[in-house]
Amino acid sequence: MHTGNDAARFRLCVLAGLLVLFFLYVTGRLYYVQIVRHEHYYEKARGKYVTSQTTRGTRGQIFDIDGNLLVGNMPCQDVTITPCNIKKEHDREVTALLCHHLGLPAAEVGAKVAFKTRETADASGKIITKPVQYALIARQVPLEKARALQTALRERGLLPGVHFQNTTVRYYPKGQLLSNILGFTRVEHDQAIAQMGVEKFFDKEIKAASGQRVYERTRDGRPLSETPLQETKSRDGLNLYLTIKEPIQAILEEELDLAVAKWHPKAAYAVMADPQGNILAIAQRPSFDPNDRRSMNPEAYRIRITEDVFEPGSIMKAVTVAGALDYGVVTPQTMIDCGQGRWSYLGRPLTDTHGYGMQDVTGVIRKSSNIGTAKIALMMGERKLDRTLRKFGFGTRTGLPLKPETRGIFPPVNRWDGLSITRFGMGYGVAVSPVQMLRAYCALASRGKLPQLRLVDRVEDPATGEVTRNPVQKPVNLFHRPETGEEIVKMMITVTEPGGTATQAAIPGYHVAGKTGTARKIERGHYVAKYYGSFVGFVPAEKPAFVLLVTLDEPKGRYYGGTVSGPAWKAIAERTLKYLDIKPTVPLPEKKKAR
Amino acid sequence: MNIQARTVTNRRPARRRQSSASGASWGSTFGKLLYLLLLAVTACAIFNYRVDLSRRESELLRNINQVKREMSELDLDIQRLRIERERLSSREYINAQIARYNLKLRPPEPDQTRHLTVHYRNHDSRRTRSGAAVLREPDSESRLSLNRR
Repeated sequence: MHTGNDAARFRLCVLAGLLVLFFLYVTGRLYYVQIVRHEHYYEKARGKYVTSQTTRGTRGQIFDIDGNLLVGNMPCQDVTITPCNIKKEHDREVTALLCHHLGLPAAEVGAKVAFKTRETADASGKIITKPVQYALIARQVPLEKARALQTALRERGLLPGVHFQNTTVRYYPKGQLLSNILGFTRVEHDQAIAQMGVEKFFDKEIKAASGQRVYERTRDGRPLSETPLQETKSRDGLNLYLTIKEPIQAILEEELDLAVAKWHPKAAYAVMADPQGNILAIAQRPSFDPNDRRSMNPEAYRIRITEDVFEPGSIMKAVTVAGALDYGVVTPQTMIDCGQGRWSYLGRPLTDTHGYGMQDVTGVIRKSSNIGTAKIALMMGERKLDRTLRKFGFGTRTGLPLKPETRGIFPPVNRWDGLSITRFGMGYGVAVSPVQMLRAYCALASRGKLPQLRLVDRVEDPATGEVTRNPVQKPVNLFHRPETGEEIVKMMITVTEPGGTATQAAIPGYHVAGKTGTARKIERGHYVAKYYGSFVGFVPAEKPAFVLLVTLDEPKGRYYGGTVSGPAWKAIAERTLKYLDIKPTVPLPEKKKAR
Repeated sequence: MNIQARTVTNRRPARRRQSSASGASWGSTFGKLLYLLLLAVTACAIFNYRVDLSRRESELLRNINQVKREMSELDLDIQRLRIERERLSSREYINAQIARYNLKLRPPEPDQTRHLTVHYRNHDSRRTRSGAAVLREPDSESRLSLNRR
């Protein structure tokens, strides 16, 4: 007989059994979720609340040798919004503030702020509505403007949904100064891509390495914890210090601009180095302002000074004569018959502007006689002339960190024709770049020591302050006779003295050693009535502080090197001597002293 | 009359024994409770301390990050001001200002310059304690160009 107690006990047993089963199920499920599927669910959750942020270092800066900034990074901010996080009732106010501070059209900004959701198809093709997380409002907003906007938004409680991302824009504080050499960058996908000049040549060193920060985030995207889960630090690019001296560069560019304004040449170059080959200043016209993209066109920004070649004309004569002196072919007193200004060789005439008659070698240089130089070259012979010009670096690149760089045009001796020997020595039939000619004159200035041109002095790691110097290569000794250097310099001094071709380049109080050059241009294989007018020299001749080359391509009106480039050379050199505080080496005339 | 024989004397000690036994058990229970309470309080204190430590740590981290943010903002300002200074010290800008104010400035002649070298006693701080400067002739690092009157 079943009593009421039995029934109750039975029900209790069933209930207990069910409970045990339920707990067994829960335990099993827990085991499955927590142990068996742990990795799966953990990754799924991580994907939801763990996010990563790319951090960027800043691109290296470029300085002159004394630490004056030539290329820097101007800090600014990108303004973006998360439209779905901006409350609908705030749309109008946020739009108004963005437009007011950033000067943007209201319709455009309003549309971006109001665009809060978008419809998209999921994997199964079902249309779903997704919140819009990102819209770019303005790029590279100046820091002050961005901060004013941020303050205004914060004061009104409208900051949620508006983001300010720190970034930088490449900035050239000196404007056009040295622009062709420095080069420029363009921005692509928030990355600076180097385009030209030093920026491009040293891109690998200057470029910053980006880092990554992985962190847990809240629903609205803010970091949940102050310490990230994982972090790879970004690295700033290395800083470059050039051998350029900014004040001298400014002087050189100002005077070059004046020469360009006076003679209206098609192009103009000026480059200055110390006798050890350190480039102190370098400029070309036309040029551009890297901060103003409208002024940029290939004709303005290509680096003519290393890329272009020109027939140097008479500025080559000093090199030829130096070779002849060193080989002992001539002495400064050797007399050369320059005739009446006209001479034929292999049936082809060669002329001088005047008939100079009998001249010693110094006179040949002073008067810049083509006939005299051609005769000296003939006395040397092809091999010696070829060896001399090649020793001075013609036909080889200078190795400046600028691309592209030309080797110039200087055919090997076995391809010379009969006339080459009389033409190459006076700078016709060969083509050189301005920096090749500068290097050759650095060798003359240092009495036969051919230096390696340097444009970069040192590289600095901004993180550690570690400085790596660009080593100075040992110069190559060119002269066999120790007297050659002094002899050729003395001849070149006469060029700027009364009776020389470049009296306009003379500087009171200093001995200037130099050489003028006027070369006709070739167009379609024929010489035309267009000229290169050059002057290259160094001062003080006794102990040169610098070597300077000025070349005007197709000057209008006059074209003689001594007339068009000489005065510009003098102006640059005079101001540079003052800047470098080089005391006069010869007594000043009384009138000058009194001033 | 129902008379029950009771051994009163027997019962009394028993009651006394019982009451003393229950007193002992209450005492030990109380002791145990106290012990448990102590344990709980200690655990709570440790837990609270740990929570407080975490809170302080996170607050400190927040402060550090805040200071870092402020420092980076100051760095940005320094960077911006440095670029601005470089722009204002460019020859182009200076020449424009000279022309604007018609200052008629010209560079000094070489014989109009004197070299002034300042040797700092404390090289790290670049300041001299006594504030004295030593004047030396040419081969100087820092050079000032002075016009002779």
